[in-house]
Amino acid sequence: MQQKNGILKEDVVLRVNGLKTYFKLDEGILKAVDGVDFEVRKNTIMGVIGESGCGKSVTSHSIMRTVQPPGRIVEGNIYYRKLSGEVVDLTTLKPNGAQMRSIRGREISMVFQEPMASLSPVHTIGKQMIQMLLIHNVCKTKKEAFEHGVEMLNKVGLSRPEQIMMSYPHQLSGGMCQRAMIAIALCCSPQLLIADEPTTALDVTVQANIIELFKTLQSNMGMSIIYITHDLGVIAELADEVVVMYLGRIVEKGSTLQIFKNPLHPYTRRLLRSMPMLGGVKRERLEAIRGNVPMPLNTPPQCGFCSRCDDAIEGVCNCQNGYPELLEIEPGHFVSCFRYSKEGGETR
Amino acid sequence: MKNNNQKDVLIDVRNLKKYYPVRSGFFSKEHGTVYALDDVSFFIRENETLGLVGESGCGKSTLGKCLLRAIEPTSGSINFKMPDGNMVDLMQLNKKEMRKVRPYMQMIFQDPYSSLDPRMTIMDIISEPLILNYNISGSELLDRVAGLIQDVGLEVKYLKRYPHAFSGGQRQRIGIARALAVNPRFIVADEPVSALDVSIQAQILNLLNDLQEKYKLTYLFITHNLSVVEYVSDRVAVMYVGKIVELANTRELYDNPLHPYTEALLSAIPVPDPTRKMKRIHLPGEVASPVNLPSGCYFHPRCLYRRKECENERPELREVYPGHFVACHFAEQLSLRGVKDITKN
Repeated sequence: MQQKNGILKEDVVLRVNGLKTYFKLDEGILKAVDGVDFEVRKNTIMGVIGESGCGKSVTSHSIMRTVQPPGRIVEGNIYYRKLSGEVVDLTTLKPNGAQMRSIRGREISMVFQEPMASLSPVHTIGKQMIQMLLIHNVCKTKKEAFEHGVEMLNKVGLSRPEQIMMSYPHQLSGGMCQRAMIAIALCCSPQLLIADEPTTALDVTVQANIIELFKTLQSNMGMSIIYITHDLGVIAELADEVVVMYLGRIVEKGSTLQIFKNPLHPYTRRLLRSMPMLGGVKRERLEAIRGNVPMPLNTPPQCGFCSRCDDAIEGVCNCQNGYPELLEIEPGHFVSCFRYSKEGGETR
Repeated sequence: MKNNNQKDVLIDVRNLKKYYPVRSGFFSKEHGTVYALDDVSFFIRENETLGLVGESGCGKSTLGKCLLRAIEPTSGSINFKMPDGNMVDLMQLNKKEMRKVRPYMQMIFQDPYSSLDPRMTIMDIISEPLILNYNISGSELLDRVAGLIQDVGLEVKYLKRYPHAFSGGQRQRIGIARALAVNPRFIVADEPVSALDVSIQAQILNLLNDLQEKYKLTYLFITHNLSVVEYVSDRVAVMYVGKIVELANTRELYDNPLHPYTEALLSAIPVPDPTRKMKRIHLPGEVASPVNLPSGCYFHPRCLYRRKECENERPELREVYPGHFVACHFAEQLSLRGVKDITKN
């Protein structure tokens, strides 16, 4: 394992390299994640934007090694720097082996979309939290674990934490459940948190509170967050870097400022213009993206967006001939589109 | 609320209430009341879109369904203007008379996956209201349905398929076609885009806009998404625990909110622009429970500007400026921040 240390740069926690996760179905092969590369640096929040079916959740499950059959990681590496400094390739570990289990929950933790559905309805919040603390040897005794749990619930801004430790999920509101779940995810102080649409089911006022909570927790605890959502507003506010996914592939990545101020890919541009902007003019038509996201079943290697793209240029966009390369157009800003070339920037 | 004399009002709701009893135990003893709608009054003009916003559980959907009497309101009056110009109080009608009014008011539902019967073809789904209300059949029916499906941007060849063959956005279009089938004047759209992806959302919003122009429709647009409501609505009503707390023209409400709750809601909108930094207002505590209501103003336990009076006296919805209604004792004295002040660069 030691020789892998050179693979990760000093400040990188996680590097996903050519990840492909396919689902073998009766109808054919569903390419949920089809060659994804990205890096998560220490102490940053990386946002992943994409519509349903773009593979953003499967990517996070691949990192956690919780992809259920018929899904399988068929190619690629996920390099991860453990707290001890050792670098491992998560794809080579057994999903339910001792090493993966010591990472999952302890070092890499996850917050899910539906707080009510992801907590156990038959155990109290306290029990679920204490179990985790004892399994990962963060606390030695139940009493110590209980106190640690109370402290965590306090940190995420829940009042009367002792009472919440004793209550079942159905006794709490959606916002409280989500906070409790964040507290459980953070109680072993992981170095990487994967948040999969954590605020989608919540009201705007609660969402605003949770976003603020993520920001303060991130800066206080010094961890990295992968924040997955389809809400561009949340990403603009929270993320340092953004990855835009479409049909299992990354179409664009860069800093938040680059993505929102200078979007390069036709998909990102249209997505930004299709949102009703606050303070915008009423009845000005929204620029919708025509068509629907296709099913990624048995797709040939080609530009996934071409069936909905209005900016395709004949002769330049050889959409049928393989995937467009992910090119670096400006420092740190990558795009995967035939309209861009290594030398001359964008063809118009 | 005044203005009922205005000729262009399509639906005028007064003192609408919907209470649910809370029962439990073997004999279902009643030991409490859920105040789902608590004395709601407003009106909607013809060819207008009224946006209705509020957090989950505030009674938005209950209000929408009560207007159509899909849920039976406890008390109040709903005056609806019939095509001949007469105002009819829907609450006074019996079931049979109500069926005659139903074609004029329709509903579009939130979840396109559960609001279409999986065993019916698209043809059956859209033609059912036509057969029931107009008793037409044969080629006339087919022509009508074909016209409707094209109106919502789908193709005639889809008519023989079942709902499972369609994506969320397409299903929502089918739901809209079904609502349009009987030539309604008034449509309650209950979260029509919140289950859809961003790129599809824009398609449906554009479609609703086009149909409104084409058929002179009036919408009650229920949503929790404040950016969407700003885009579609002429006027916006804000609800909190079964009451309307503020109602005004969209621009006016977003620029000069008069209720502290509206201000907090506006400040919580995430803006897709990393250079704009929001000044967030954090509301302490949780939304009040409609079973166990606070005294005085329902919002006072979370209000940042509360004073003594707020704890004891319940503010009524009153017209502070022409067309701007608010239920707050101190609306004139507070200087609240609108969208422009909150999203300073």
